[in-house]
Amino acid sequence: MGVLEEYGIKEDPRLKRARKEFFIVVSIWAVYSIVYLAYVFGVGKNPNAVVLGVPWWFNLLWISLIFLVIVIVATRNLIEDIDLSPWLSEKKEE
Amino acid sequence: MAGEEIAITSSERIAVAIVFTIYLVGLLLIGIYTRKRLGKTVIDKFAEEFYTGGRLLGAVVVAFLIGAGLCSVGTFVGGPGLSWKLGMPWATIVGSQIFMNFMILIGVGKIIGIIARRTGALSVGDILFERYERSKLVALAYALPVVIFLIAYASSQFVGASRIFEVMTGWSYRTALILTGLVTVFYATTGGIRGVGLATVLQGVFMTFAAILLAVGVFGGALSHYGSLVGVHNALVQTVGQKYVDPYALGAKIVISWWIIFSIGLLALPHGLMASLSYRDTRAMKRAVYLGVIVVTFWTFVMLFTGFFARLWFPKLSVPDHAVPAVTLTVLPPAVGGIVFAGVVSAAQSTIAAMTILISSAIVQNLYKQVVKPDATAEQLKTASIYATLGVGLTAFLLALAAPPALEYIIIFAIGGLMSALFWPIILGLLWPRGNRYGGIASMITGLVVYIIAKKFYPPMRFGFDPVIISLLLSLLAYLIGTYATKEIPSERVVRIFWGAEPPAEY
Repeated sequence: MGVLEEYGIKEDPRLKRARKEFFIVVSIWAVYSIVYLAYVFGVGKNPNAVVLGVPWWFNLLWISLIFLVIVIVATRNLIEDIDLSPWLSEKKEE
Repeated sequence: MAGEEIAITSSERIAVAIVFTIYLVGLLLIGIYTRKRLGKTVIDKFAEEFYTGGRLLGAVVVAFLIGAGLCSVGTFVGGPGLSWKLGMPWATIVGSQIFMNFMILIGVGKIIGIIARRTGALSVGDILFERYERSKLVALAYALPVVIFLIAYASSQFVGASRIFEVMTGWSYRTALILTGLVTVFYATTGGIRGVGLATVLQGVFMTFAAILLAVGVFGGALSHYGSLVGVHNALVQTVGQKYVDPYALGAKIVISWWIIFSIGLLALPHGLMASLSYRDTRAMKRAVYLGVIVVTFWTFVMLFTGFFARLWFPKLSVPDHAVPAVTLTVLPPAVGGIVFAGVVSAAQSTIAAMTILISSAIVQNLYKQVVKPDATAEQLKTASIYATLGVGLTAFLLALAAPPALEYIIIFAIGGLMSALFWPIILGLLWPRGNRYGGIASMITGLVVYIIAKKFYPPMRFGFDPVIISLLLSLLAYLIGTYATKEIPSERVVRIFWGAEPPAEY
């Protein structure tokens, strides 16, 4: 039995959501890390490779910019705006 | 196109000094303005206003508090220096830091934002104190490393900024230190986090202009001379050698270690997390992410390429950290170079100021209020906040002035040590309700001790990785063992505050 059930505590939906969002962040970070490092250690095996008309290392900028867009879109669409009042029950009473 | 060392004319130095003086006056005005505002704060709210800006900071301030606070001399001087020295292996690593605002604010910022409002926490140390049953040992285990390591680290930033100042203006190291140091101490002490935040906006603007100017100067200069990026690549290989563009030159284990440290590791740096306690609402928080990831990506890549391309102009430099000032004075006109210089010093000052506030909060909130005098009055806390901030700033300043040999020794352990000690107690403390105070304390002590041993006394235990990696693994193990071996379940009060929808009875 979990600690919350043991105490009979109902989880704050805002905190539950915020913890899910932590894992969204870690997932995006993990995918970015894999793509970036796979490119570096894959294509970079030939340090003089030319990819898309530029030295291979310059494309690290494009990879980062693509993920920059992904991060902004994810923040805009997946991250919920919430009320930051300490306790929602107090807010309702007001 | 190649030179060997920096050569600056007196007129260039005067131009640089004039621009820099304008920048310093701007900082002084911010200090005076925020002092007036802080003076109007009622006594009961002083500490909250001083350390969190009343939790009313807007998107721009929050974005720069994280971006400029974490992108220190490392990004604007040391990083390009390493890029100049190591080439592509270093360039590979810095791509990891660009999403720092996203990692911090979306990763843990919302959880910290709610819990800080529930507990009145003014620092990450306060959050840990509440999470681990108000244990004085936790307060000490957090505050002592923060105070010792970050004062040393802040003083190293003073040294870095003053050395660059010395090179670019020709003024003495002592004059440089007095000008950059005392101004920083002034606006941090008089304005608290709001003063620091407003100053970081000004500094962030200078850092951004510096990066724009360097991008134009460096890329323009290199492309006009070599015709294309492939031409630049060939020239670099010819000048430095194949290793310069080989990502394997440092070894994949080190690259991956540093990748982790500069990305997810940032979640454990208290001066980065400070902004999570201060933002106004989640709309401001999200806007701070948009702005932050854009400017940090821009700074990071421009400074990376500046250092990387600097070899074209300066194949040999006695000090790699001189790569940015050397290139600046070569590719840009002097007055414009002054803006770049102000940007570089901004990077140092913003970090020092953020650290000063953080260390002050560790002294006042975690040592004084939680350990020494739990019944301290609001008036006493106000006085302590101001004097602690002044004392921290002046101590870092005096350490930079005297530069005792032990300082270097402490700096080596600063960031890696804090990361190793705090990562799991913060992350598992926020995510895992079962984790208890014994796990937290065991993890903090294990992380720090293992890091110091692996870094300095027994390198074989690193297994080829950076010592932070092994210390993070062992501190995780210590957290789990400490939690399960003691069998203590966190109190209902703690679980309600950190997870519950309803407040605890004694709230």
